Amino acid sequence: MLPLAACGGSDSGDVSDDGASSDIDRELVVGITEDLTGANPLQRPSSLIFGVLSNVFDSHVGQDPETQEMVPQIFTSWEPNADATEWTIQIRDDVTFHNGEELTADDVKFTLDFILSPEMGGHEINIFWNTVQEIEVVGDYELVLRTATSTPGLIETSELAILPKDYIEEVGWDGFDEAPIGSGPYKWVEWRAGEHLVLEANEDYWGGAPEIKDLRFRVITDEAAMGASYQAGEVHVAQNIPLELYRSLENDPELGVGTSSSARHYILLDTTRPPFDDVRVRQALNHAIDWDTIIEELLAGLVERTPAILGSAERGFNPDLEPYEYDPERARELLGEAGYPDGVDVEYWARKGVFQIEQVAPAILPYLEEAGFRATLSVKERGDVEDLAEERTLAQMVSTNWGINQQLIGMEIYQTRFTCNEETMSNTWGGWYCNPRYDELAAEAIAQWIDDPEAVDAKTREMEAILQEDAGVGFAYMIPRLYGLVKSLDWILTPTQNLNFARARWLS
Amino acid sequence: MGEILGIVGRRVVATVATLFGLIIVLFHLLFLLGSPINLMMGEDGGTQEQADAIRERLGLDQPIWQQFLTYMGNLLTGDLGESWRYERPVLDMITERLPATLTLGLLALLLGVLIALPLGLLAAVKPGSWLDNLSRVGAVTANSLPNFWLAIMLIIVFAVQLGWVPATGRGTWQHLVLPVIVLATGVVPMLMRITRAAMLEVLNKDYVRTARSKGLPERTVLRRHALRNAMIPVTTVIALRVGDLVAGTVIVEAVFAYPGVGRVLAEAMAFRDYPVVLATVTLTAASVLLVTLITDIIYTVLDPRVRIS
Amino acid sequence: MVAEPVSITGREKNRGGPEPVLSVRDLVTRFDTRYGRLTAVRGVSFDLYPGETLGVVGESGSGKSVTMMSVLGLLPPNGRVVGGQVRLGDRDLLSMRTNARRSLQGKEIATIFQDPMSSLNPVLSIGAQIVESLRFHQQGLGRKAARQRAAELLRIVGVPNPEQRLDEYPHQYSGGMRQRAMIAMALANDPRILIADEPTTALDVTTQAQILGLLKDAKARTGAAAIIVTHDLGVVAETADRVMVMYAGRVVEVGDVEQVFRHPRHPYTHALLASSPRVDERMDKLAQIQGRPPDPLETPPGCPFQPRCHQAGSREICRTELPPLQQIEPAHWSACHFAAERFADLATRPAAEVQAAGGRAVAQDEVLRIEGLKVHFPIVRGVLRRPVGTIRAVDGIDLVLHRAETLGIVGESGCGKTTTGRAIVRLVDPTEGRVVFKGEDVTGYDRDRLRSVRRSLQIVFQDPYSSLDPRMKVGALVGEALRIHGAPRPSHRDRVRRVLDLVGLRAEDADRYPHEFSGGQRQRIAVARSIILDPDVLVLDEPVSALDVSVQAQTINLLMDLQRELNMAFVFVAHDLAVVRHISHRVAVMYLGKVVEAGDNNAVYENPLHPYTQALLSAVPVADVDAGERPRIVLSGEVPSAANPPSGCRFRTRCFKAQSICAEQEPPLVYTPTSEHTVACHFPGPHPIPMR
Repeated sequence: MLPLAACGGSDSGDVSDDGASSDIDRELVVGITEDLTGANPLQRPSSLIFGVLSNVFDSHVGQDPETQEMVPQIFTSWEPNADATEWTIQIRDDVTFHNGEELTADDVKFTLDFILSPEMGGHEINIFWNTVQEIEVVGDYELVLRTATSTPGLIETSELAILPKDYIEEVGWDGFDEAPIGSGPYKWVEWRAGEHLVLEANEDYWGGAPEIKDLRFRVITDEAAMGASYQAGEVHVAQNIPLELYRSLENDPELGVGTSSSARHYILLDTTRPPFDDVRVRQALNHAIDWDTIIEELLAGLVERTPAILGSAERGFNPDLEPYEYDPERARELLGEAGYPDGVDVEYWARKGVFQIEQVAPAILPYLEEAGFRATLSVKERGDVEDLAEERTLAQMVSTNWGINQQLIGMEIYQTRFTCNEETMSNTWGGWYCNPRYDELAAEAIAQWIDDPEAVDAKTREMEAILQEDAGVGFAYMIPRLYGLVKSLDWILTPTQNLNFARARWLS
Repeated sequence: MGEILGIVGRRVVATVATLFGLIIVLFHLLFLLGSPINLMMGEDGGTQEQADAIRERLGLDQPIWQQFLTYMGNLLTGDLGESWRYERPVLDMITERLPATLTLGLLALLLGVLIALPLGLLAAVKPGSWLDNLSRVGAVTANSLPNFWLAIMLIIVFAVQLGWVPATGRGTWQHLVLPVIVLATGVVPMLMRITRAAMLEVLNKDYVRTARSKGLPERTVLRRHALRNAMIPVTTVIALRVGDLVAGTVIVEAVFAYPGVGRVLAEAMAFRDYPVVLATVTLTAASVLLVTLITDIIYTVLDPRVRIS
Repeated sequence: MVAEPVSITGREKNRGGPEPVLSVRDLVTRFDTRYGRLTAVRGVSFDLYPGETLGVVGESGSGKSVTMMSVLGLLPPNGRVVGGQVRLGDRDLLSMRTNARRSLQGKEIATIFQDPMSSLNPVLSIGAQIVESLRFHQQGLGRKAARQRAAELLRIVGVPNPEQRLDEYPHQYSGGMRQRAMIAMALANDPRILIADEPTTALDVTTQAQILGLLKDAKARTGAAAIIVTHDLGVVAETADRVMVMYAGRVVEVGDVEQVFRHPRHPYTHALLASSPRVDERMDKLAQIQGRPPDPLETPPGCPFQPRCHQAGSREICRTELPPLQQIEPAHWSACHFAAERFADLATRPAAEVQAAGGRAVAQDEVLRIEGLKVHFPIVRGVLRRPVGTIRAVDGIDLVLHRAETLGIVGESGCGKTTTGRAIVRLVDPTEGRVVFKGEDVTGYDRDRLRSVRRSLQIVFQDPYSSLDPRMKVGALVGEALRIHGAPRPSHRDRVRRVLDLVGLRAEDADRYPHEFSGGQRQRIAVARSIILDPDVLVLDEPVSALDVSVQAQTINLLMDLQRELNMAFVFVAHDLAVVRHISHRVAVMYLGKVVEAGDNNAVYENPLHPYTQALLSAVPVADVDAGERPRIVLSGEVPSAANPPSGCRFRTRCFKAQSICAEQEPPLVYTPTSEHTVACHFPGPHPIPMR
């Protein structure tokens, strides 16, 4: 073994002689915070990993990186019948898997059959598609789906990666896990758990061969390690770098930075018992905290306040709403009106893992105090908070977060969180604040889902206004994901952090 | 020889019993920690229906004693179960990472021993000398550096600024340099202190005086009479340090994005992936016990008194 | 008897006799300690002549061992020879380089150390340690030949099966065997000088006799000169040709053994001899030297012994001028201004009191009776602690103790004497038998009921330091029992003060910590602690064996005074036959868990009927050059294991009288038609050779 000779290779990402030079054939290394759980994109644990796997597997529909619109991918058209119980689907006829075999309607049916099988029970993807009762292959490139109940959002609420039927039947699932193939822009080369995923360009990709030929995802869970690796030039795209590093790199000529929203920070209020069962107390809370100062001082101004629950990138965001004004006088007044002229004691938990919460939560306390909320703070593990949420035994105030969905559909959070139906109540996080008006609005929106997407967004905006008025939660801000992005790379960081590099290229 | 085999046999039985007890305690302890269901449904929670489906799939709907019996039954056939999160055999997950951790740990131990032993011995032979004082100050300093902080500092200086070695990852020997140094830093101070103290104590022993009275040159006295006796406590400490090293790798592997068993454990804990936690901790304990066993054997070779009792 | 060469020391030149093999002049050795620089050896000079044995005596701190270590170059790292000369033949050892000097060691000078367990390397086999010495000094000696020679050496020193035992490790040897191995190692290269530093101190009396005999043989075989460093005047009297007495880092007297012992010319030597109890005759009184040796960190002018000297009185010169070592008569030197005077006897207690202790005027009411006492300990093995055998530490003994009486229990290590003492105060539970205290059978008592009895049954241990909690003040330590047993509070302080006074400590000592006291004073604290509840019975477990002779005498006198004043009964457990003889009214001799002989003190000592008692008594060296040549019964072999004692009479395996009946039948402890005391032997009777 000659270690010295071995180290010159490009895989160790040497900074000294490489730097940000514009070698067009250079391997692109992307640092990700989470490891793959396996090759199967249908058993994905997170949207992040799904984005990584989207380089290998095409989905039935995809998302435009610039507009975030759902655009056809494998499916070219999908037509529902009048009550949205039967869908006629056309698929592309020019797609081949990495082994050269053609992608047909049989592969789509195989994929759907798999996600509807009992062993996929509980998986998110299964929930989205489980109304499907019958899958009929009409031709090589056409099939019909029949659902048990009307499901207007069936096609456009999730991304379904299409798997190769013949290949899997030939090599089995174990064989597929070892050498997975898809129809995507990159081919699978090697995955070493906890270490990296190596991909190479699929020159025969139906959407055109990617410009960057070698792509590697490195798993770096520790924030500090991610930052160091980025600084040392070992990764070109670094997901989740430390805030201090982000700020120090803002004017760097080579090492760029970027942000995306991954979730929102909000303060869950227990509206089932005093004091937050009173809308005036909830409004008082929203008036009490000077979020603008906190964002400026502790979060480097990197985040965007949410007037209600949605961020500006999400569909249904209401631009007419102004965030609650910081007004301790008004807060005290409201509290007095609600019957707490001398203030009130509350318990406040902050869930670990929420961006910078260890700094933010204590900073809130003096504001609360000033307005009359005497809060006692404890920082809790995520698992503990979730267990107690399920048991409905949380503190009166809990700082937590709620992710954005892949399609940025704002309606989803209202439908799953703030409606009052049975299903919402059984969700871990549902039913703290609920409004029957939302059930009506949500039902109307779903009816118009296909025909009038704009009407859906309008209904969402109405829901936003109601939530703000009712102060259903404590509104805070969108949580950023801080990225390191070398400036020599031409690639768009989408708000949903879709780590797809099919159209990325090196700048000369 | 037969005597030593007898001792080894007894220790093996004791080791297996210890492991068995550990699994029983751990299994029940983990279930007290809370259910993994919510974590598996993602950050935004899920419905009761989803939760039930997961519970059924993982067999968590059965009473705990039944789960335990199933687990132990599988264990006896060598089946450590499947990761809940990755839906892969736990044994595969560990064995594919084990070589990385072993390389790291053993190199660190080796480096630590190579630094600590000579320094400790020299310091003991010449107590109060500049070498003694310097190494003692060094040990105190090294001892007070948190692993995590030291790792970050080394990365900033040697990877980011000087670019001599890679900051994170695995692959070439350069990737090992910094993590091994960090881990070894945790080993050296204690080991050096023990070596020094052990050697000093031995040098004051009557039998060292006897050896000198026989006219043997100082070199022979040190090597033949003092060193071997001093190594007896040192061996124990080295064995004990192995457990610390394993703990240290959890942090060091995270900071250096080094794909080892420590990372598997840390992640499994965060996601309440109990089959993985159980297996990792058990295997770690088994390896520590194995080292203890080996130490015992070395002990019996070093110290004839142990053979009799 | 007198050694052939005329002994000489001091600064005078030899008058034509043989050249000394070792010559030390004006040796000064210093130590750097935490408390400052102390001078342990202050100008010591002596000569060692070919073939002679020089005994060096002194109490701890006298500098006797440090002198030898200085000569040998084996001082600890903080010690340094700062002056003087050490000449070996024509070589000056102190000016030689370390390794060159050391190569003379083991070859020309060989050393035997005190504790053979700690002085042998535990991880090397005995053979390896002997072979190492042989091969280093005899270049060209092959591995095989060296091994053969080592086996030969072991045979010479009386180690059975030497070939096989070469491969064994020190812990597999018994204490006596280890010392034999140590001697074998010393003899390996036929040294010209043998230096033995307390060679028999850690050994039992019969083993000591064996080793002293062996040393004599070894000396005779090699013709080497020897130095024996010891605190035991008896050992000197029996082995040495000349004796050198050291005190506070100086030689205070040196001369022919007979002259020195018969007519000591220094008050210190005089007092030492008077304060040692003797096994061969009952002394009415033990003289005691007051005070303690001087602090080696301080050097007041004048004679260092002056503050303790019973002769000096208030003579000015003793306080101002250091007496030089001067010749008093041929071959006799002393460092006393008044060496020419005849010394007065030491101050002792009035004879009447002594009579009370020594005579038979003991009240006959019984306080303690032990019947058929057995204490067995299981031997356990393995993880499951399975019992695999039983150690029969005490195996059926009967004892009776009367008020104000001292019962001595003697025997060698492992005989069960200590276990017996502990069983009496119930620190260990009897396996069988009864302990009857003041007519009350306390054997079956549980914890609570035992507590009330315990205040009347107290024990004092050998090591005064480890039995005192170092973090407690003396007052609290002594008063502890009062609190535990719930005596009324206000009286505590007075009580503590009174008891401290009784044991000869001052009232203000109550506020000091144990480490501020010397060994003898600590033993006084331990005694005070145990008598504060006015016990009826006090078990004393080797209470004086860790003390120097002069302090030992003080302690023994104290105990005897206390007994007289408080009417207490003592069980005095000790290995030192002389001490037991001095303090006891009655005595029981134990061997391997059994009492072999018991009865009135004088009767047993004057007329021992059991072969073991006879052997024990004959083995004790006596500090009297006029005692004449005593027949020494040297026992063969070693004490058998208490886990597997011999059938019949337990002593039969080592007994010179043993016959077949001894293996078949266990002799009962009974009176013989002619004896005044009981004995457990099939063939009791005086030794064929008169003991005196």
